[in-house]
Amino acid sequence: MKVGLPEGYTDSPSEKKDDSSSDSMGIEFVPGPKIDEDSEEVPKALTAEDIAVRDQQNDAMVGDVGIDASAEAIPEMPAFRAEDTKVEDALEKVEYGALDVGRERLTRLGNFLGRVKNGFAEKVKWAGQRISNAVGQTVKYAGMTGLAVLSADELAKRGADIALDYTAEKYDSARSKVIEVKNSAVASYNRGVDFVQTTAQDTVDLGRLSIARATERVTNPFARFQAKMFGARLRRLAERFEKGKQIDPDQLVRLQEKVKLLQDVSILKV
Amino acid sequence: MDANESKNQLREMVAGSSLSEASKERAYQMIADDSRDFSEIKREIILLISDDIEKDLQSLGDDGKMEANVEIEEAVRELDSEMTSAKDDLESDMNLVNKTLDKLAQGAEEGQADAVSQSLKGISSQT
Repeated sequence: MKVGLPEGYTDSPSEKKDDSSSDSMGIEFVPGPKIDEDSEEVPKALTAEDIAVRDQQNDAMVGDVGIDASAEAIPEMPAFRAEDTKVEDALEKVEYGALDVGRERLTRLGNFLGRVKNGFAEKVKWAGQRISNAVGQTVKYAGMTGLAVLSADELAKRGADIALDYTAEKYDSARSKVIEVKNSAVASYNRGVDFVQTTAQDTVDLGRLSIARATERVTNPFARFQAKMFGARLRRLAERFEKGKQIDPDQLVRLQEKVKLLQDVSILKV
Repeated sequence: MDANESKNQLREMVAGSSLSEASKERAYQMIADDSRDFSEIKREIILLISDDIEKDLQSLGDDGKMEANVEIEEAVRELDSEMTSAKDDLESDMNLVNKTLDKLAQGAEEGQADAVSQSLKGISSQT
């Protein structure tokens, strides 16, 4: 029997979708001043005249504000490539070499996650420079005292950190917070610089936790697949043993224990 | 359960298993690696156990070539379905992160413009 493309296999988005963020087919980490043109609630925008005046004021008052121009050249976030989800070739191998099937998928997912992590880290670095710079200037000109300004490096480090603290609850909480901010009718600057900084950190946390969540979600079915595959091979060995093939029965038992270990590990959760 | 508890549980499972000593040592090293999240460690351990099983099976003359069956087909389907779903959700989250960071950066810059403007007004009113 040959395993074909699973019935009902679809490349369409999964059921769990957030209406506020699923309006794009791919991920577009494109830096720029545009906020969310889809939203009806666009924060107060500066006119070209306002911007020109602001720039003149900035030049006159503070000179170069120190934004790293190279930060504007952040590469686009790569989308999941077709080959990452392609199943036909791997499924062919179920018939000829069972052990490669799950491993191939895991490799593809690892490649995808690697690209997502890199794009995310770059985006955080870029946004962190803008936010830190703007907040620093705001604090200076508004004469605020006693307010710590989050450095761009600090935020970038947070973005590069692995989510060692991942739990499903933390992920849900971080996501709710970020959705609330994105959908907020009030421009973030009206809510204070502290709010902007805290929310930036929350948003970065969501990115980290989301990457950890994707890894977790795929690891478990992969382990179950491996356990089933090995279980089937073990049964075949047992049948050969019953038919008189010389096999150390203790070795069969140890193998059985290892397959059981695989199953147990697959259901371990944080 | 936090990550440390899960790691401890994983360590105990490995210790009480019939994995080879070499595999156990390797597993302990992986579990002790604090630079990796638990899912990543778990994935590595799963691959390690798989390798150990694979060696045993091969030494018993099983070459891994086999016909698929309903059970395996179902596991493949589950894996593919979860991969697609996880990929889509991650993309969705990353779009959300992307847009929110843009919004925050723009908001911060507008706040900066306001602060500068107010500061200038204050200076001009004094002169």
